[in-house]
Amino acid sequence: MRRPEVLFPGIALAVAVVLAALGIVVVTAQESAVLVKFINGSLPVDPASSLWPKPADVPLTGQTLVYPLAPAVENRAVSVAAVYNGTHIAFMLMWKDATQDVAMPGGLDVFPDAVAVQFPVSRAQLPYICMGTVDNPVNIIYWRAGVGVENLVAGAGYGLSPQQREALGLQATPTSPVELLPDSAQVVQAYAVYKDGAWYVVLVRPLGSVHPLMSSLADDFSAAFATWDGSKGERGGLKVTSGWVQFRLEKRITAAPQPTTVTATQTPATTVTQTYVVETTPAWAWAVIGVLVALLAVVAGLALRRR
Amino acid sequence: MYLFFLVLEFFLNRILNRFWIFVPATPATHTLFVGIQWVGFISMLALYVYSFLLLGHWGRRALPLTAAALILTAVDLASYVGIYINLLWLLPLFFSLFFRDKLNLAFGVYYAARGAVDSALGGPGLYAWVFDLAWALLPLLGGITIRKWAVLAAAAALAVVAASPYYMGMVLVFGLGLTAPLFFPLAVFTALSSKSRYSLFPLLVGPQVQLSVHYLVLAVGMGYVVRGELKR
Repeated sequence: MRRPEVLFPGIALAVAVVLAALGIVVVTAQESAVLVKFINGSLPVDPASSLWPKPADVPLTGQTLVYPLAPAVENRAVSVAAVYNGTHIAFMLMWKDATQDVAMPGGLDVFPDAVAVQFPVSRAQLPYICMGTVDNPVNIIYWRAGVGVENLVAGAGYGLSPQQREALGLQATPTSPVELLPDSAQVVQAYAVYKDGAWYVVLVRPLGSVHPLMSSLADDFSAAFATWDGSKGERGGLKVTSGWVQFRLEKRITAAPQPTTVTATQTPATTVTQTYVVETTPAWAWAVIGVLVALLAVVAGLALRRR
Repeated sequence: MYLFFLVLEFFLNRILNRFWIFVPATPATHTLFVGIQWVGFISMLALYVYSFLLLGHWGRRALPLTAAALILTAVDLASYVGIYINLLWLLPLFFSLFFRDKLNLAFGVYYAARGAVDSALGGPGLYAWVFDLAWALLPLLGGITIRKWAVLAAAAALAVVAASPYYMGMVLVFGLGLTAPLFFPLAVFTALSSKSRYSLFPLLVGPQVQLSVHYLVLAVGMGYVVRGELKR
C-alpha cells in the first residue's frame, strides 16, 4: 500500500478530473451578496421609503487609467439597496458629495455629478470590470444630474458587423465604445434627490431584458458601480469605481407575474459573446453529489488508515 | 501536496485567470487560457476531495471535526437548491479549538469575524482595511524569523502592487477596495517569515474568503500543519 501522501493527491486529482469533466461544481462562492428584497406591489421611488432594505456600503476606488489621477487613498463609497416585484427592479443609490453639481441647458462650465451601474450582458463569465470587452459586453445605466438617465451598452460595438448592428438598432458604425441602446430599450426611470450633502438616486428598470444587449436581472446577478463628483472635475473616465458585487434575489413570497423577457430583434444575443457555460447536470444535483463525494472521501480516508 | 493544490488554485484559478484580461487574444494565448482555467478548476475540486480524505484519515479522534465539516458543507451546498444559510465561516474557528495553537486560534477568530460581518452586513464597507491589515499582521503571532527570500518576495510583491494598485486589486481578487492589494506585500513578508507554516494557508486564501473550499482548507490546514503532515 502506498503512503497517503502519494495516494491521497492521486485520488483527489482523479475524482476532481471526473467532476470537472461532468461539469459538477461542489464548491460555492462565498462573496457576500446584496439581497434584493421582494415586494408584492409597487416599487418605491422615494429614497426615504421604509420599503427599502438596509443598504450595503460598496467601496469605490479612484481609477488610475486616465490622467489626472484621483488620489488612490480617497475614502469613498456608494450605499446600495435594491427591491423587485414581478416585473421591475429598483436600486436606491446614496453617496456623499459635498457639492451639488447639476448640468444646465447650454451650460459648459459644470461637470454634473453622476452615477452608473454596470451589469454583465452574458451570464457565462464576468466581463472585464472596465466596461467589458468586445466578446463580453456590459449594460450600463448612467444617470447625470440635470441630464437624466440613459441605458447604454459598452464593449459590444466593435465586435459586431454593420448588419448585426443595424438589426440591433445601433448605428452602422460605432463612434464610441459606449453606445446608447435604441429608443425601444430606453426603459429606465430615475428619481433623484440631493439632501444634506448626499445624492439619493432611485433607478427603476424592467426585471427582464428588452434588448439582446440589455442584461436580464430576473435571476441572481452581478453589478458594479461608479460615481462622479463634478466639483472635482470628474467626467468620462475620471471617476471612482467598485469591483463586481453579487446580488441575490429574495424568494417571491406570493405568486407574481413572470418578468417578460423580450428579444426584440432578429439577431440572437449569442452573436455578442463567445463564452458559454454548459451545464451537464442540474445545479440541485451538485448539492447531493457534493455531500456524497465528501462522505465517500471520508470513508476512503478511514479505510486507508485502517490498512 | 495539499498546500501545492492550494498554490495551484491560487495562481491558476484566481491570479492568472484574471490576469489574462491583459493578455492579447491569439489562438495560442486562448489555448493557454483554457488550460489555466481547467487546471485551476480541477485544483479547486481536488482540494475539496483531499480535505475530506484527510479528515477520514485522521480517524475517530477527528470525528467531531469531520461531522462539523460534513454538516456545514451540506448546509452550504444547499444554496444550490435555493436555501441560503452560510455558516461555513465557523469551521476554521471550530478546528482551531481542537488544534490549539496561537496562530490557529487567531485566524479562526479572524475568519469567523469576517464571515459574520460579511453575512450580517454584506461586508465591512469602509472598515475593510481594518480586517485586511489584521490579516497581514496575524502571522507575526506565530513568531518570526527574518529570511532573505521572504524579504525578496515581499519586495517583488511591493514593486508589482506599487506599479498599479488598481490592476493588482483586479488581479488578486481578494475582495473589494484597495487595501487588500496594498497590504499584500506586508502579508507576503509576515507569512513567509512566520515560524508557523500555517501562515501560508491564510496568505493564499486572502483576507476575504472567495470559495467554500477555502474555509475547508483553512480548517483542515490547521490539523495538517499541527500533525506535521506538511513537513513530510
